[in-house]
Amino acid sequence: VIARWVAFWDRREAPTSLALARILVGLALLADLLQAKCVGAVELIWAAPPQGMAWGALSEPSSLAARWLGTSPHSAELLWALAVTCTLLFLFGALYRVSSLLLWITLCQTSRFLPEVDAIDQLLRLVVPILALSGANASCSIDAWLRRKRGTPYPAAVPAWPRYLLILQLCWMYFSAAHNRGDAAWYPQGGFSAVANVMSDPHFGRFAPGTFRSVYPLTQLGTAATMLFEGSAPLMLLWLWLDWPASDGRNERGGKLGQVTRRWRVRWVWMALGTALHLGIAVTMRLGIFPFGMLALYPIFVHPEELLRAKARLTKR
Amino acid sequence: VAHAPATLRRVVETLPLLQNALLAPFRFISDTCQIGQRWTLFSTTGGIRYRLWIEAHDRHRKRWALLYRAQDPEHRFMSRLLEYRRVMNGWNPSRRGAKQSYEPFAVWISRSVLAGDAHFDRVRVRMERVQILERGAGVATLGDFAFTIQHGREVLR
Repeated sequence: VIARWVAFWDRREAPTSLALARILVGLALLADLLQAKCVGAVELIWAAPPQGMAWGALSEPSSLAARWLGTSPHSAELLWALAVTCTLLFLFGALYRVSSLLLWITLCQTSRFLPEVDAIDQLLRLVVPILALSGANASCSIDAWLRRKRGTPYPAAVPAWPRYLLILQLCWMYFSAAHNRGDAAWYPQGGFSAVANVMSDPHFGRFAPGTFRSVYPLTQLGTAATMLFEGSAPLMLLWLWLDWPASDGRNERGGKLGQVTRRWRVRWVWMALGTALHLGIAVTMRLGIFPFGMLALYPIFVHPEELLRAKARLTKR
Repeated sequence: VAHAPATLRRVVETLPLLQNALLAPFRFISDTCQIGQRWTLFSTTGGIRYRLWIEAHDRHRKRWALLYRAQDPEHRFMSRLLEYRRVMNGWNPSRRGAKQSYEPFAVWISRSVLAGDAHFDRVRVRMERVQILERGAGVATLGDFAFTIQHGREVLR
């Protein structure tokens, strides 16, 4: 059993899925940081009171950033510049290990400054170190390009465990969100009214409260679909196992259930449902990068072989 | 839990203590990195919610001018900044009430308004209480406010 456990976590695969996740996460983070600058929020969110609202910058024990950079509006700009630089290096896979670990430290420090942040910030603080330790820079990166130029390219296969960990993390996040919902509005007894309620919230709704009154049944469907999607997240592990691409193209895992899963493309249906829900959130609610940050991680649900096959098919055309 | 058999109740009540004890050596990680694995995304919806108002007092006209109100297309003062997610997270109350960053936010916005316009001598930040209506019908105001903070020109010092 121990040998199989070790063999499982020691599996290797092409770095394509991790690299794609790295690029998309980097883009989402960069967009968020640039938006902070464009709307003039940098000093407000990362300078200590009264020049800003970052009350955490003054808390004890003081954070590294507060000690090294300070807590003034000027240091807030420095912190922003550091975050943008690290994000760019992370996105392009340059000096990858160092830059991604620095990015993680920066994300942790900014959260110490202003602890009231979104779930997506917390998720990114968990995801970035895993990506940092992965071979996500072995493809589509400046590091990989330089290594190829020097004649010492990265190996074609990198450890798969970071992708497995990220899959577990995302599935847990969805499932945890579902089972932490005690509000009846998420269930039949509350009339599946939760999504309509959130869209009516003056702070979270993108449109005026009551805008979606005429399509209320659709919002009920959205609530039910959200609970079904999030509650069924652990099953994604089963769908992934049943839908594992076999090297000879013949997958016979899981008997009848496996056949049904593959024929109905259950894994892809689940991902499509998640994509639709997140895009729906992006259109109707003001949640910043949350939907995009979540979708940025979806490539981890796709085996690198599938991505490479899709790429080969596209380039053939 | 209250109606469960005594043995089961003891087990249920002991589990969190056991979990805390087991996780204690690793607590510094979650504290330093501000991470956890309990995800509460819109765990409660509906009921009473809030709507941010930012007003400034005109010292000559002796009346309050509404500068910004959430979901009000006619009062959009600094709306791009105020509605940026990290800023909104600071002022938007949680289930437990106003957040710790609400007061510094009120100070900051008061300083910004008062430094930019000499006509104003006070700034008021408050949350209108609204009730979410059923079947997506919108909200109804409850006619009162919560978390009211007011600052005069002393915040500029």
